[in-house]
Amino acid sequence: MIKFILGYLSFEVFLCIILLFFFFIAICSKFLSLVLFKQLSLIYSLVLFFYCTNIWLFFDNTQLGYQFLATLNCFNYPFTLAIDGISLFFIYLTSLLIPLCVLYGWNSHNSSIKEFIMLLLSIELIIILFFLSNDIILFYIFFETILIPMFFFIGLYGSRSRKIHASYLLFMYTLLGSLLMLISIIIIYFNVGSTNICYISGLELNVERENLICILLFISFAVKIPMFPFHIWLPEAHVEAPTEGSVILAGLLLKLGGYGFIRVLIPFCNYSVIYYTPLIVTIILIGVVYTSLVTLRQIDLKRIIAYSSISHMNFSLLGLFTLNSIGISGFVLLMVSHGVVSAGLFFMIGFIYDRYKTRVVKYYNGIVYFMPLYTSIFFIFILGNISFPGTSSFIAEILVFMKIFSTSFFVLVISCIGLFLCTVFSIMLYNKISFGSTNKQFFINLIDLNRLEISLVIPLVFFMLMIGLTPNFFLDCILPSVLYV
Amino acid sequence: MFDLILFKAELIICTSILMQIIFFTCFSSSKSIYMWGIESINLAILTLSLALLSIIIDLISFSVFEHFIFQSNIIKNSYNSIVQLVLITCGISCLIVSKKHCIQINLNSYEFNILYLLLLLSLLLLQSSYNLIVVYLAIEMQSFVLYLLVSFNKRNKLSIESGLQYFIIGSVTSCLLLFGFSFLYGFLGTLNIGELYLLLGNEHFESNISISGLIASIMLITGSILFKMYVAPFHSWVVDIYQNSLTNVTLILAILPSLSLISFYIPILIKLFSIYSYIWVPLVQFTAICSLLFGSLGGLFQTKIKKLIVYSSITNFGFILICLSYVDSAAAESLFYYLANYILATLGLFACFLACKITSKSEFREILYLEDLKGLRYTNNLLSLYISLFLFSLAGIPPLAGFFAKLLVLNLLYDNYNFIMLMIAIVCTVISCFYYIRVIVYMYFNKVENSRIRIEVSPFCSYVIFGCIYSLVFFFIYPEIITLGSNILSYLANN
Repeated sequence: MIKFILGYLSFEVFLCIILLFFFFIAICSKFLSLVLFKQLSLIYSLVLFFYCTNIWLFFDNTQLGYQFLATLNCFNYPFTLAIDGISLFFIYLTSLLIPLCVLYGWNSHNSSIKEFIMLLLSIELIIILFFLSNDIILFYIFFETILIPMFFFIGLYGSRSRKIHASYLLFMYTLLGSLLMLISIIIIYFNVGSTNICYISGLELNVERENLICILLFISFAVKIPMFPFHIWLPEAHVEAPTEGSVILAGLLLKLGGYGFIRVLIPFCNYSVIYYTPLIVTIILIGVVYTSLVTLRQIDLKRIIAYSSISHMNFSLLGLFTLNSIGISGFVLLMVSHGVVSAGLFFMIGFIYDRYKTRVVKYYNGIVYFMPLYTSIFFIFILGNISFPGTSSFIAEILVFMKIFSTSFFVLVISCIGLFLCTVFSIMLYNKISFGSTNKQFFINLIDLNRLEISLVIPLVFFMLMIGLTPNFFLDCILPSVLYV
Repeated sequence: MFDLILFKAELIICTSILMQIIFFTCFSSSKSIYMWGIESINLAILTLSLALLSIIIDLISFSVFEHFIFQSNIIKNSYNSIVQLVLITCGISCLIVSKKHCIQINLNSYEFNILYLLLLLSLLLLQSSYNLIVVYLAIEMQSFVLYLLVSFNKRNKLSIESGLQYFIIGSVTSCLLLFGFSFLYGFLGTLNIGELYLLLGNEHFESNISISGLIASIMLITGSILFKMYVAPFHSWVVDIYQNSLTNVTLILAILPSLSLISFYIPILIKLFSIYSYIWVPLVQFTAICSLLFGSLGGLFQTKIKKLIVYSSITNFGFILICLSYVDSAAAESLFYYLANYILATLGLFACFLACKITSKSEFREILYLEDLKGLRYTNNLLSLYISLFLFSLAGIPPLAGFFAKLLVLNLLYDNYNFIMLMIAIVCTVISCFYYIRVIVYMYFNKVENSRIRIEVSPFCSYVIFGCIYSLVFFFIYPEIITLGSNILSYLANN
């Protein structure tokens, strides 16, 4: 059956079918009953997940460069879509997280749940197309299109009135960044004559122009990832977004910036990146330590995880800017594993938020007496966050550390401080929530995780441990593509 | 006779105007006069459709053509006909969109529609005029009709005031325009545009005439045409006339006059003044920068919808003027693309806003303030989605035509190494995005208990909205469709 689908269904045809099915759901959403609509959208996202699994199975590790090429003759200009070892796992992560998000809201009584699910599916589609696109114009289009559903997502389904402020911040920061990217795309196009990433990578421009492009691209991706001076929007957006929104923000949206770094900035501006590396690494180190320190003083659960994800993403960038195949594979792996771990953490926070309707840490105490299952699963994710051996982050951080160790001892020490602080606040958070004396009046309504919720986090735990225990499974795919970059 | 056959679109409108005047003055008594308002809207739509048909027949029967008629005072070629086609289509859409609104505000006078037909007649005439006197007459006729239309809101004193304001400023500008034409006539001895092409297009001719006089004339003409396009340093009165006139008149003001003036002025600039570009390019660029800055900063804290739309259109015209200042066939392509995006989005936006009415026990009015849009999502989800898509297109967010329009303009700026304007354009895009988003925030994110908005969309109006939104998406997927007009333009410029 699988062989039949993959043998006779080319990649283009499959894309068309997925798009048509999406529009079918969109048009029919008015007429279908709620349950049928939910089932249909879940089936849709699961089919995508199934197909992405197949792509992974049939992915050729030995081949350098792109596979599964498809050409869109859209604007009188051939745009190519393709997959390589780097984008494969981001696409896989996307297709993994969206069905979980659809399932998370399965029993919610929100009046506009249909629009909610449509937004989720459109986000999935845009992000997958973003990772598929092999052309900087398409890359830019999807990079900016994702703003519209995210803007509505936070503005419509956020919990407090500050959500409007948060959605403004999200929109404006990212818009300014991506317009800078647009300028650099125009410069690239005028100097190279093509926008296909395969053609433009490795071409040389004169030094000033390359430095200009490097700065512009750097700012636009730094806003998205986010790095130290541009990170204000992320905690705001996280706190105001619904749980699914936070999962998408941390699990997928931050990866767009990292993916942009590795796909556009590094191959195109290799000389100026080397030139600016000391500056960039300094900014990254400030980001790692500063955000870890900030996290220690936060009392909002989501804010803690948001700042910790900023520090993790910044740490992964250290691996990228070692400009070495080991460091870059560590970077890719760390982003994927962070996608899994932070998504899991946001789900866990969502569960207790649904039960108790507060995110302030000070209200929580001794949950372990009422929710043993919850605390144990939460502990696994906390271990993932502090990169305990056996979890996914451990492997990735080891790879990054290996490379930093050989380049600069100073950077190693500073980043170790950041990681140590990360461990401190993670354990503090867990300790505060799980243990301690309890006021029984408060928690009398708390029941342990139900079957839906457990089945929701099990895949994430599975993937976290899978990356941690059998990393070669992933690195074999990543490494050839990293070498190719 | 051949002259008249080629002139049939204008003749149809002319005949219809005369017949309507005779019919309504003879047969409408004072009692039944209110009955005739709606009938005359339908008559105007019918007339315009006939004119549209005749232009389509011209375009089909002669593939690419150029004819001079009436002692070569009038030119008929494919470029003009395509522009006329677009003008009449916009004109019909404006009427369809505002029909329900006219009934609701009891605007039942047939004079309004006769004036509207006169406006379209003058716009069509401007496109095909080939003599500066005809140009002046067409522009003057258009201005006079607009003075009347602006002051048509009888219940509002401010409307009459803004009409007067428009009249005084507009007539001064017309004088300046005429002054510029007279300079040309004084130095060159002719007003026929074809002959002017021959004289001014010749590079060796320059030495024979007083260059300072030519400079003065080009400055005067360009300045007064910019004035009539409602762009920024001349914008303070535009805000008043947009705000105080009837909403359907605002729609007409936002779309029709500037479209016709720009598409008339591009060939003039390309062919007539291209050698003297050092005179008018700084002028146009200064206006473009002013429009971008004033438009994006002025709209920031507006609470009224119409004022917001004025500033948005000023910003968009800033982008259009950037294209105009680099005018050649490639720039004209991006100009037409931007113009198409602007017109579609503005038309759709007005169609949506005209459909919304505020109803409560005490009042029944159209929406005036952004506050009135609160909770539109709960009343009509689809309409608010469409409004936000139009706004996103104006702001230039990707899956709509506005993105490619902005991309083409930025491309043009980079191509000409104008980095200062590039940065200004980027910054202004971000700032103007802020107020577009504010509208969406009002519609979507503010909860309201009992919404006072009532929405009435007639079927034809919904077709217009549908057409706008789908052509915006279509233009995004096939941007090359817009090059049709500019290809013909470059073909004509080379001959």
